[in-house]
Amino acid sequence: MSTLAAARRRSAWRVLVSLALLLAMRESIPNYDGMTGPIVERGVLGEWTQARRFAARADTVLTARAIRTEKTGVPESLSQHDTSGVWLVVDATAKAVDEPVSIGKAQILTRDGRRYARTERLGSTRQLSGAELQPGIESRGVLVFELPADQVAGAQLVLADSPIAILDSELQLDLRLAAAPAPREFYDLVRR
Amino acid sequence: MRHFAQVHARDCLLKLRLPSLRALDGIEERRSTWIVVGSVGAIAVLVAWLAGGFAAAPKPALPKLDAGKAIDTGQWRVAVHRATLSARRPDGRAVPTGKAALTVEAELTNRTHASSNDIASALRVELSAIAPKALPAMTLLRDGTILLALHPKMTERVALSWEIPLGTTIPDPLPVTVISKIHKDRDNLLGGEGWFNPKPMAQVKLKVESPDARGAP
Repeated sequence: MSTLAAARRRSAWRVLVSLALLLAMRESIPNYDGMTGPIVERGVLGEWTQARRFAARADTVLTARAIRTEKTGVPESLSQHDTSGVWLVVDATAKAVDEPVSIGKAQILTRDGRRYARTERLGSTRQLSGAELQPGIESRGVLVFELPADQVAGAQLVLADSPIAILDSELQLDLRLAAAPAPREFYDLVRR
Repeated sequence: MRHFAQVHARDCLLKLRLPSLRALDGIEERRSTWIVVGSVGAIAVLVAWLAGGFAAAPKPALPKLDAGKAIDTGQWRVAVHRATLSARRPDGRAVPTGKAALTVEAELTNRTHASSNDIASALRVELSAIAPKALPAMTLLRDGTILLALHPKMTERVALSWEIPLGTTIPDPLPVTVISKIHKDRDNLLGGEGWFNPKPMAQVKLKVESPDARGAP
């Protein structure tokens, strides 16, 4: 009888230890996003950085309180847009590597880890993310974001060819913004 | 299984020798006890069912929220301001003939770490003419542009607009439910992070304004 009780105790311990090990494995392995996340390539303002299917360079950065633009393909449809924060305008150049590709993800990654997607309020006028990049041919355009003024310092530009870059390249370009630049009152996206 | 076979064999053996099992070890008594317990239980279940004991419990009333007062829902900080019924959408375009635009204006702040387009799930208008998962047209009231995403820590006043048949009876005041979600580091399907489990958390009652005559019920 005592042998049976001892065997039962051993089985209970085995079950408990197995459950503890399973829980530890579950909590210690990266989650799905961590396992399938992008492969980060880092660069800085003014230098080319290579991704698997494209290369890009952030040329200049400025901030503004308001932006003037026009609806795509509708001349004389000028409109001015303000924001509750500031507009961050990155002038950038990009080219494809082997085959035509578009920039499917453009974000600002802030010091505290927040990600601000490219604004979709301004249409595609002069936007680099709307253009199809060709192999070896440099395309120039702007990427426009809106973010709180206190998030500008330390911002990095994030670029990928797909909105969800699963196990693919993601460029993270340091915009050299040790401190937030003083914003312009106005930036003209139509006539720079 | 083995025990059952042993008992069955013993019963068969005893039946051959004795007219009744009653005097032996209580086998028959135990069986009758189970029959009584089962019958009483079945009657109790039947009575409970007839008395409505298995009907869904009434949902507890949601906490009331004043118009314009903000509440944190997890993803969003939401303040519902007003509702209008009009022949025009918030972006100025006219709605199709026979329809009216029921619009709810709210102030939203994205409390997450990334830009989000999961805006419409924050509010639900309690009106049968609006299907529970019908997506509204969303407008950024700052400049009347189509709203596609709201960015972290940036408060914006937005309009969520549904097209409803002209003449739809609108309750006065109109109940608008604020929905909360919880953040999971690992969801149950893929193990990725996200916002899940939408749940009503408060209700705002709004007087529906009619800025023009056409949209009036």
